[in-house]
Amino acid sequence: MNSFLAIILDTWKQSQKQVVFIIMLVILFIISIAVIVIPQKTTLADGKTRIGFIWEDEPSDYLENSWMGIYMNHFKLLSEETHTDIDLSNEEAIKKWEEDNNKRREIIAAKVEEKLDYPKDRRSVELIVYFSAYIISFFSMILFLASCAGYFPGMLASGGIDIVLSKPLKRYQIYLAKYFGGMFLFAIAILGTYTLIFIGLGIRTGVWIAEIYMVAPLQIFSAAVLFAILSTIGTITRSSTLSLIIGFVFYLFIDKGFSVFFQLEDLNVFIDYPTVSAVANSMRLFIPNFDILRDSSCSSVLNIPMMEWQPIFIGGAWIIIMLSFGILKFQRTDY
Amino acid sequence: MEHSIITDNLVKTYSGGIQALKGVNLKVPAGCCFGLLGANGAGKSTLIKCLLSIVHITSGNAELAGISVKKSESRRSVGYLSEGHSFPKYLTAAGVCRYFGRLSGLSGSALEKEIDEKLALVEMSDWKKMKVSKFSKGMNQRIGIAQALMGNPNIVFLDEPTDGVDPVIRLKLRKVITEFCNKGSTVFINSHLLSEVEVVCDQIAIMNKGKIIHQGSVAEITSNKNKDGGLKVIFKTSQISNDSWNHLSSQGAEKIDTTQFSIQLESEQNISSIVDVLRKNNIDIYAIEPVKLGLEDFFLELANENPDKGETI
Repeated sequence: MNSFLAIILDTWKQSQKQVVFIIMLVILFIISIAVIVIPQKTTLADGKTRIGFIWEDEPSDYLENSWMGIYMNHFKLLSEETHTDIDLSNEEAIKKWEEDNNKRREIIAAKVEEKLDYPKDRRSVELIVYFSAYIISFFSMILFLASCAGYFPGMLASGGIDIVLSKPLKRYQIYLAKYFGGMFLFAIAILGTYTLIFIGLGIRTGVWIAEIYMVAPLQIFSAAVLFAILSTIGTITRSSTLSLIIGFVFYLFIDKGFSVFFQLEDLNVFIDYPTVSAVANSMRLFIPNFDILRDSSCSSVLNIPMMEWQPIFIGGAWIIIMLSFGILKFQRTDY
Repeated sequence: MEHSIITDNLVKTYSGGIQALKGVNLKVPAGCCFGLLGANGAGKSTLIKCLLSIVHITSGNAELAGISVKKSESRRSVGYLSEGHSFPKYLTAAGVCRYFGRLSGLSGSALEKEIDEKLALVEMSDWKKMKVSKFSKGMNQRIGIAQALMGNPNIVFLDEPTDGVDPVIRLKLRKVITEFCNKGSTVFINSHLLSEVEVVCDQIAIMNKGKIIHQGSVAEITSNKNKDGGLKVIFKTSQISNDSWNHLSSQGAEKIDTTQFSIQLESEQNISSIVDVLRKNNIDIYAIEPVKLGLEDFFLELANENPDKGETI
């Protein structure tokens, strides 16, 4: 355990040396401060409180209306969900589908009803947290990718790994310690950011959004998938630059490309092309869709039940496969 | 005799077909200071890396303190300084010792005590908090030795330990290594510097092209009893007459330069006859001294005898 912690600690020291990790922390800090400073609490003549922006003389309805728009839109999308694979010749299946749909509508109606009673200032703060979660997710993933691309190549650098391997540790332990070391740092950075926002917004607006912590698990999970991929690339290539390039191409182009492809399929664009549609549906089983993971995580601030399990299972499978492959490569290589 | 390191027909073939070790059999007694010698590419570093599982063994077996090197427990009490090591540049001198000490299982106050003790041992206490990126090669080497000795391991592998170190520090490091060995640990040194191995080690092995071609004690090798280096005769007179030289050369004398020659004697009594010849020719003898066969001579001789092949012993 002591050795395990030593490698985790070393990853932190390695990160401190990497400018990009420091930049990530600085950007997350700036975003947190901006999120805390931008909203302004105003007490109206009737004694009620409203949340607006600091540049507004009087708080407008913008935040509350936007919250309602997004909230209703999400539920509208959910209530319109259909099972495209339903067998229309099977009466029982149709009946079950109708029952399922009715149940979902009832749940959604209850949720909406419940939310309509929400205090207006809470809605405003939830919306701010919702958007800030998106911004944090975007910047943290991009910068973490740039930062963690060097973790494994740095550890495996010639002249550095020999002494580590001569210690009484199994190779998989060294590999996993490095991996969890990187993830631990990211988790600390993300949780620290959300804690800062939670406390800052709470003090400034009087609204305490504990749901902010529901965003973190899926964001950390997304980073874990990405880092598992990068650790394997880094172990094979031993090059930070190559890991970085491949990581960015995968995250920004390949995954995004498939995300668009899946969205087009959801919009029935390929309805006349069953082969393309079949390819899209089968690819869903292989590609970790970071966009869906991010949407699911950010929506949890609004308490919208839109968790999709498929990308989580696929992401989990990617973590297991990538780590296994990376460990296997690390085990077999002579240094 | 108990052995710290045992290898049995150890073979290592790298991908690409390069056979670095061709059946190495080695037994290193516990508590000895062992030197591994060999030319570049002889397989010395590969042998150490196999013993520490840094590279995988193709066939054969190896044990550290009676445990197969395939098990991580075999490295429970092992220190290692690799050749051309490069410590993470973000660590300080103490940080390097702390990191590798932790990986060896040290923690808390015992760890901090060890750091202070080992840095003092290599005279690096004053630079404890300085980043290793600012150190010279010699200073890095000293830090390397300090981290290798963290936790007082039972077996220490030092690959070119005094590489890049100035003569004064080299002398001190030799003392550190000798003292460490005297405490009962086995020190395995891999070095090009034959004179250093000769001074520090009790036992040596010589590698050539992936095989051990000789193993024995340094005392045996350097002793004249084992192999006579003959006599060196130094005289003041600049010329020896042809007749005298013919007489001397008939007894095996070989000129070194105009004022000295060496000669192999069959028995000690022959010294008198040599002196007689020199006196008869009015040659002023300055000195007669035995030629001691050093490790370097032995190594070169062995290398010449085995230009292409190695024989396991």
